[in-house]
Amino acid sequence: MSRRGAIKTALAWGAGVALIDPLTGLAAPEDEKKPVPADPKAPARSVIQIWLAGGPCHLDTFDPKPEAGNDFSGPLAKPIPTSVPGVMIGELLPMLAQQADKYSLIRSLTHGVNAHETASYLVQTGHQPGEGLVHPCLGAVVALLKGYDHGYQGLVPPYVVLTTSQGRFSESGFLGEQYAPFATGGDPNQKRFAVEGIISEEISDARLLGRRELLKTLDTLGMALPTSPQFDRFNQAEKKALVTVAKAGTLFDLSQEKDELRNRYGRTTFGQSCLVARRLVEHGVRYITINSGGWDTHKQHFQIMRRMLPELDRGLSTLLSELSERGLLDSTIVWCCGEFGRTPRVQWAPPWNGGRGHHGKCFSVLVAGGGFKGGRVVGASDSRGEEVTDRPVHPQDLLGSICKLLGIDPAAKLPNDRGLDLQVMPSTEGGRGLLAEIM
Amino acid sequence: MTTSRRLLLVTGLVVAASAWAQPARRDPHIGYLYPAGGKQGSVVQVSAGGQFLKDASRVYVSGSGVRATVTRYVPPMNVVGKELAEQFRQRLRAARDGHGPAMDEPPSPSPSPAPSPAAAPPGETGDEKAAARERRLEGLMDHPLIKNLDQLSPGELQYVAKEFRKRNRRQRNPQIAETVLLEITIDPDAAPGDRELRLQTAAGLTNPLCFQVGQLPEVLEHEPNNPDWPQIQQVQVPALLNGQLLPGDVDCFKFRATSGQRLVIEAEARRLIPFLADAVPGWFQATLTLRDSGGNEVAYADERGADPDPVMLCRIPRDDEYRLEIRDSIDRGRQDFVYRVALRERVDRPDPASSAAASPASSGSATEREPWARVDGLPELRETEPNDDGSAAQELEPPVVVTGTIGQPGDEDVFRFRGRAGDSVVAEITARRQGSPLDSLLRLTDASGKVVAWNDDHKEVDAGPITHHADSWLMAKLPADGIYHVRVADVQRHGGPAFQYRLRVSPPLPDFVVFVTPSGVNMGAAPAVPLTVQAVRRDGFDGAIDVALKNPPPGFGLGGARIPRGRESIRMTLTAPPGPLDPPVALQLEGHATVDGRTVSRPVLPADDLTQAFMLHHLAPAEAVLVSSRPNRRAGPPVRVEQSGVLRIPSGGTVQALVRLPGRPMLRALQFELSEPPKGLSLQSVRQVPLGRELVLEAEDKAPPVGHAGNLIVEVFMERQPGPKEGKAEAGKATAPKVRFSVGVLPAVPFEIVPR
Repeated sequence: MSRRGAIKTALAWGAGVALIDPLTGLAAPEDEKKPVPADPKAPARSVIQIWLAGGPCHLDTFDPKPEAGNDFSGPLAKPIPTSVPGVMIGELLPMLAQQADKYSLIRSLTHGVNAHETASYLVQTGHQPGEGLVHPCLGAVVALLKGYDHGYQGLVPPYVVLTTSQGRFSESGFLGEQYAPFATGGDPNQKRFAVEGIISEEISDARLLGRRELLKTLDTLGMALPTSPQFDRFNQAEKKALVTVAKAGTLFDLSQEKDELRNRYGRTTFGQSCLVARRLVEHGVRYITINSGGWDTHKQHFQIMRRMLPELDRGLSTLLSELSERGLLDSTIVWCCGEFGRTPRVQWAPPWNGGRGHHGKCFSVLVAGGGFKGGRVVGASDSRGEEVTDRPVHPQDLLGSICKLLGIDPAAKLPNDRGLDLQVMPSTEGGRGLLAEIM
Repeated sequence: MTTSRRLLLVTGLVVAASAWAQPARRDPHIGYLYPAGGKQGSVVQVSAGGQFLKDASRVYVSGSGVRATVTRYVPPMNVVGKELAEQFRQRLRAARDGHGPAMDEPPSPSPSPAPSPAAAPPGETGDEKAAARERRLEGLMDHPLIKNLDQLSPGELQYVAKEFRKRNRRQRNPQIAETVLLEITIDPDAAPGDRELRLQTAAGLTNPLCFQVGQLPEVLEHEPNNPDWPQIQQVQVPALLNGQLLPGDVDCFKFRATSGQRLVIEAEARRLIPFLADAVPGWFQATLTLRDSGGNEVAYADERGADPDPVMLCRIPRDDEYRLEIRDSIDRGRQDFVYRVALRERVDRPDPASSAAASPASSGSATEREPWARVDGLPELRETEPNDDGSAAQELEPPVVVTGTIGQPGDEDVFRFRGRAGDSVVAEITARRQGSPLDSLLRLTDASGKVVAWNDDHKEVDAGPITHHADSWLMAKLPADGIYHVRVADVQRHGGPAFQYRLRVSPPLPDFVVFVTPSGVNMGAAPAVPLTVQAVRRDGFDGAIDVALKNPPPGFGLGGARIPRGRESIRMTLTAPPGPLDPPVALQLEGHATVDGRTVSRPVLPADDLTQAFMLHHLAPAEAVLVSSRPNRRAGPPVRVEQSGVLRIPSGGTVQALVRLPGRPMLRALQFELSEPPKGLSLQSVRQVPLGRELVLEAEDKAPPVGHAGNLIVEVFMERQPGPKEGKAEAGKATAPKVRFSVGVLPAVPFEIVPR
């Protein structure tokens, strides 16, 4: 059994049905035209997508508008300077402010959609929904073009979600389940990070091995046929699988990190997820999505921001800092946004009582590393953050740019079982929408 | 003016303006009334749940014969929850002592009985706190949650206490957390039907909510009344059942009925509160289930045609005791999930259910609805079957209105008329707007079947609960002399006796309807408040519509009171005389326009813009525009933009406008912005000039386009030092930064973009 096969066996054994697909022949037939793999010389090797599900407010994070007045800024009206002269960000992001030279801010992301599902699809696939197709999101495309079929030999699948999938749509789309993300489940902020199929929450590693030994003593058929070559192969595969699972488990074992570092990330699910993401990048995992929920703040917006933005600030800034310190930032793209922004005008009236609605016309994204320049601001919104006034950036421009840095041709064709001519990413104005100014 | 009077006036502006610091935040609001109605000749105790109601003092109920007073204000649960919990504990303890060990006292919800900080003012001593707490406890005796505890059996008491603890842990909903208790007196001769109820607070009027005057005996639900409770509340037919559903709640009522008895069970939930802003679906979707004594389902209803409020028409199969269950379709609930269910015998009309004798129950049909509204005074016809294809098409002579039915699934009704080249013809279906389930598809074809025009859904601004604008409308210019067919079908190929429609075929009948929002206007210190006026243009009418106050009281006026040609919506402003507006003033508005060379006047219909499911907006009709203010209102000086006539702004250029300010020092601090200007129009600069402020307005080159007309509304801002509780000083600074706030708007000035 090949190493790759052993890994698949291990994960299938551990994770159950969801990961059995690689063994079931769902992949494209051999005679089907192979997709063009990613250019191995590309600057970016991995991606960390920090997905703020629900839609964070661009005014309170990366595009503050204190001059717009209380009805727009609410109590968060004192943006702070960053390490980059002239660039200000929200007052609840002081640690990120110190890292501004490492990232660029795009303040003109736009798609105009205010529905969660459609907007999530747009921002993560780059494609308009419709035509009876579900396009894969970027992580699945990376899993296809930079995954097991193209030199990836990691212990865990090339596309990992921390900790749960979003459920808004199928991330792998028409590529099939073999390119779906491996969602860890569990909570890295717990004493034992129970990773689906790899680390049990209730059974220690030693106890697991003990159970395997006990099982052997009950294996009467195996004992009756000790020299069967089939059983021997099975036992060898199982042994490899166990070893692999055990090694994969160490990737998620945060007890191997110093408490001081764990504290720097913040003792929160989000903060510790950032730390896990760094470990996975070190291991070579291609695409990691950290799903952070709770940003759909129709009510109690400012109270929630005061709780969540410091968590984001601590986790993301430490991640950028650590990636940089370890020499990983140059090869790791980090991007952070939600499916849309939030209405710049605060909804003071009941039942919102200081909430913000959905706003897809104009919002912000942070991009860093992997070939993206730091310390830049792309595009601009109007004085209230309601509309893009300069350099509109569409989701396909952002994702197409990430593809470029990963060595994936945005115009490359994706395999599909309908024989359709489907490219990785639609282009805006013949590719002129790509973020060349920060690449 | 003396210095002291000037100072007083300026101070008045600032004080009044301070109240505008976050104007929308403090607008009083009611989210539910429970019960939402009462019987003629009765006195009803009603809870009004809402926000910013602390100083509610009066109640306004529309129409005559209904009077209401405020009994008292009950703070939200986060203020009095502990005191209420203590009341439950005391009652449970007493019940246990009186009824033996069968009762289990629930655990204390809080280890510390100390009042919450919100309830105990800082600085109180221990004795003072205890005394204050005692006063609060005494003051809560008639709280809706505990006032009837003495009437409950020990088991019921335990159940209610458990529900209370669950409720106390649930997510708070500030928008309905406060309660005002009302006493409503309904005269014996008060006209039955819907009324509007609003509360008057120091900050002005609340939004209206529906309060119904009924004729049936009223019953309030008596918790516990869930299906597994052994003693479900017994009622008698007829009755009007009132209740509120909390999450997962199912309310049950039992009644005896006899074999063959025909019952109508009609729920009203959405009718009472048409839209919930923060819920999906965006209303309380009630369902009704009728079960016999064995628990077998006898009838079920979850709609009435296209109306979400269910009606159950039911022939009782045998003498028995029946149980009616009311729940939300997806088991949601909250205090504003209020229902009224009329349970009565059906005596007046033939029972559609009788045709389905084997199935003794069915949901409601359009036959229970009001008669079809007649429109336009056009000749009327009834559809004549067979008319299912062109060869059997029914002859029409426009203008005409045909009443027809898509009688069975797949049916299509075809009508023919003779037309001349160049004539314009309108075909319009009225069905869903009258409660019909028909989702019409309308096609105009020539005699060969070639489609000239077609329409599925025609959406237009309308005030009402309809969310699917299923009726069709088309207007076409006929290409040649000859026979034309108008084809009516259901777009989903459904059909049946209830799929009725009215089809108008006529030349265009240009007309308009105008709505104004909001229906409740609270005047502040600023000279004006914005109103939004929306026009529904019918049959291609695109002329300008002038809006005017009808017989206005002195001092009231409109600014920018014209809906420009082709526009569907515009913001204008209302000005009111200085001083308090108490009681509120009811205003009537009219729209005037020239249609086909004649002046047409239509009443402007008051409405409120309600949000459904977080993002969708609908107009809810209201009975009147009521203008109110704080009792101590002192309007500021009459600041306005000096402009007579239309302000012409050159495309790609600038224009100056003067805001004349009286020479008062404090007014120099005023800041100005454009309120919701069209894209491309901005305030380039504000310059101090001897008479006040000169605003320089700039229009971009192409947006808005030449010819674009609208209203310029200038919003005024001030800054103030926050109080000690509001602001936090930065490190190293003695005071917190100033807070900028909106004072209000100046009267609207019409503008037009002209060539440079």
